[in-house]
Amino acid sequence: MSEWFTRSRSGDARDAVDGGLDRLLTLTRGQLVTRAAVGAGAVTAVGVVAGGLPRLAASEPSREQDRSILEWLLRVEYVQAAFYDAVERGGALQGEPREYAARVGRHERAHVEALRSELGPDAPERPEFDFGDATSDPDRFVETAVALEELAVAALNGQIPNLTRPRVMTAMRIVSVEARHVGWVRDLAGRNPAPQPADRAATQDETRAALQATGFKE
Amino acid sequence: MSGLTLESVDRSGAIAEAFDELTGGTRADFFRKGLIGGGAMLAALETPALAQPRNTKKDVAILRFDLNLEYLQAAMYSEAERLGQVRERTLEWSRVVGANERGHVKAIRGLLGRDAVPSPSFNFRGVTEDDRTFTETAVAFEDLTAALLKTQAVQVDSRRVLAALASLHSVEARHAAWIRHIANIVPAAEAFDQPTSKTKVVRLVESTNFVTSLPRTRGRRKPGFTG
Repeated sequence: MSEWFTRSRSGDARDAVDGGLDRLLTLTRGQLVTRAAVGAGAVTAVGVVAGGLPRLAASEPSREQDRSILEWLLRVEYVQAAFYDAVERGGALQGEPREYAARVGRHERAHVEALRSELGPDAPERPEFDFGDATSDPDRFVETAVALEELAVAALNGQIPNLTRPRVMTAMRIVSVEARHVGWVRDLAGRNPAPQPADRAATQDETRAALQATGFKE
Repeated sequence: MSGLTLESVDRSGAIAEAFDELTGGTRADFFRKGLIGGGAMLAALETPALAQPRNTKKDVAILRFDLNLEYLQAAMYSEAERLGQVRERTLEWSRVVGANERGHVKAIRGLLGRDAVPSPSFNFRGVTEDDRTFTETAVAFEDLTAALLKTQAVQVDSRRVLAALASLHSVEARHAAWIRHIANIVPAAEAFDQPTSKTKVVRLVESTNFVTSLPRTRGRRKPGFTG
């Protein structure tokens, strides 16, 4: 399995295949810790998702469907916002990772606010999370940030074609920033920021499975 | 939240083929991964291939414009890689991103089918040999391409084309963040990225004078960069 976790920074076709998020990596937190210890910077924390082909909801976009999708995307943003909040509270990071966490945390909170305001007063509330040492150990922080940002990109890409057009724009403006986060944090981690020409699209089930696989307690 | 039933509308297999090209995989490869990865992908692939649904005129125009933009980026980054005059990190960026943009060319050509247009000719006027100019130009192109794809995402008629553009769009945003990081510019400055118009992109392309000749066109086909 080790080739799943070791990514060379090259853009050739083989790397594009190996570097894909198309394998359903369902790592437990225990495995993450092990891999992080073994892999030293060449680790993927949570692989998101099989899939790869955009899949569209059977039903045409509608306002009702928009609502259900936006509620789901809000949950994804909640996880990210909570993660960076916990990182900032912990104050364990230095240098560029710290700068990254502060800036990206602001973005994720803004995404939460945008989705909440679209959803109105009945928007789901933010759950509490326990991220363990992923917010205090610098190596684990970077790897977890890569995983959560990849997950957000895949989740948004998976839902964009199912939204009505005004919401497509909202989601595109958000996913673009999530993808910038991925590019930034992967470069920080010494990993190829753009290993494939096309990003994966994850279904809700796949995203949920990947989130559960992090073992982060809700 | 499992209320949404998901199914493939990739009836023609066109997206699957485009992605095969992008990932260097094959249909068989996807099948193999599907067996590893779960039933959803298998279901997508087992959908019988029917005749490719024809793109609307609007979608053809949008995809042709994007194709020309991808041609330009692919040619520029590939040339930088070939000449090897930029700094090491920039060179690495050119190599990886050049390969991605060549993948985008294939994917968009696949989506266009017979409506694909050939590449214009380019002259990059030394930009591919000077690290600073190359980096600045690359930042401009990557930021603007990501911005343009947002505008197009709400314009396209087909959800299938929308899904494909979305999967390319986030990769352009990765490219933008990466080259900005190399250039010591904040990779993700704002919480929300802005869309931009085709006119602005045309203006950027024209300002560079990179396009030296447009391919001869047949019939009603219009070259993309004339707006």
